[in-house]
Amino acid sequence: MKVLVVDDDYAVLDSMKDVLEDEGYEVFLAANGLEALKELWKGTRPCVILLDLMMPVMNGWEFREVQLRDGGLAAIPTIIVTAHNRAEESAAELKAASCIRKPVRPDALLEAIGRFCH
Amino acid sequence: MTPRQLKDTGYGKDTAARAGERKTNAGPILSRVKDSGKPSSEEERFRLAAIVESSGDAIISKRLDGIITSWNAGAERLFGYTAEEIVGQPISRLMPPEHGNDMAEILGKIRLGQRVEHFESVRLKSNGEPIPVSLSVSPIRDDTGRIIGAAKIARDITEQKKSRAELDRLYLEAQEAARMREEFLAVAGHELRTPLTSLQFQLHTVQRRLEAGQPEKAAEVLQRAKGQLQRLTRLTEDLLDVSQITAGRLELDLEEVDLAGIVAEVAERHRESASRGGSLLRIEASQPVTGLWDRSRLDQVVTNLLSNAIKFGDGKPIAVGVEPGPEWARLTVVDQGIGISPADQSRIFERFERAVSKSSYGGMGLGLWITRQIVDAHGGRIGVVSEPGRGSTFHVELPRTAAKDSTQ
Repeated sequence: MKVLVVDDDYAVLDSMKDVLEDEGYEVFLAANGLEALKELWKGTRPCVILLDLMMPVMNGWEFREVQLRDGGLAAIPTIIVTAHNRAEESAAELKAASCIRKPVRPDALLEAIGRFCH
Repeated sequence: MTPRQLKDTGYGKDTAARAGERKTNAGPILSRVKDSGKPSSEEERFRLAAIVESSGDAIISKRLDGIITSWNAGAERLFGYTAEEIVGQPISRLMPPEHGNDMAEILGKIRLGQRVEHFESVRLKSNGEPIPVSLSVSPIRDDTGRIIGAAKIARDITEQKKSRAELDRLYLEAQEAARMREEFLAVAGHELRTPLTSLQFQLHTVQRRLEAGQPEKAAEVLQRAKGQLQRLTRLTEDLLDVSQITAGRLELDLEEVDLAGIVAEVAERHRESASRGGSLLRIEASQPVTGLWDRSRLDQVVTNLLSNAIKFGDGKPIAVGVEPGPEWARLTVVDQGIGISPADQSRIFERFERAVSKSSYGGMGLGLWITRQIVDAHGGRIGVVSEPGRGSTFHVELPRTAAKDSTQ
């Protein structure tokens, strides 16, 4: 089962990768929305995307706009993982499957991922 | 006593002088009243005239057609006309054209027997200068009760207006400060949450790997966790610096320090993040460049400039150079990244300012402000040359020996 993690903070990417790999997931990392789209356009089909919002090059809002317009990608469940103060509102605007506010408890994240990746 | 009488009986200009004498010597008037039991009508008139004349406010009377009938010393001081010049003239001489309607409105109320209190307006002095005044106007009646004119007290409210404007300004400033503090707390919260997230995940992994009997693999992650702890420490120190600097308590611990050595250490710490961001890091500091500086504060300066260069460097090469001069040392950090517009270049060294969108780049907006404060405290200078899309060059100049003075 594949998970795509999109975050501009390398420490967040690495630490999530460790936790998820230890749980048996195959993890793909992207430092911004554009890198994530490139990964998806290569054909990677994760069971869930973990998406940060505030990122350079292409932020989470911009990524979602492109993802939702792309018929092949729109259905991939996306969990917003952000330190943004208006996380829940943003998640609703972006029609995200779920929203988790940083700092994230690993158990809570694993549980949320588990709902989409069986 | 009507204002006309006041003028007719000579309580105009002359009384001003007499009242002036009595202003500082009110005793005799009072004792005269006391001696006779009840004041005579002349005494009463004299006493009232003295009060009118000694008033700090302008006290004026006018007929219903607007002709001025009396004018006290306070009015002379306020408007600059003597009683001789203005009594018999229309009150409209004091009116600025844009306030012409005031008089009709006031006289309208007076005709109805009403009082006008603390009406704020503007009047003209004899030299044409406008003066803000507060007006209180009452009707004057004759023996039969018929309204024949108006008595007006005009008070100069220039100072009041100024202090009110000052209060408004202070209120707006306080509101702005509160807004900035709110925004800053939100941003600081955001910045602290990111390394906390990594730390939580790393500790989770360490625990899982220890439970799984993989101590070496756990140790690797623990090493990275230390990095996040350092990052949290730095963020916390930045927050402490804000309060220290704001309170004017940035203290330097001066010693002989090699700036080139500091640059090498900082560069080493940032090599991994630079290469992950795609930036090649080039250090141009071949020989020691020593000075009397604060080691940890200079480390902070180099760290802030280099981490900004990586963050905004767009994955392109970054160069850090140190050049010695006889009296000054020069540090330059050059990136080829997104650059800074000329309008933003002036504000990036201010507190809580940033030149980039918050939806794209994190950060508390403190790094360059703290950096400038440290450089200033050393008696140095900091500046930037930049062009959007072409990159930025930050340069810092530090006096090699004069730093001692700046700590006093």
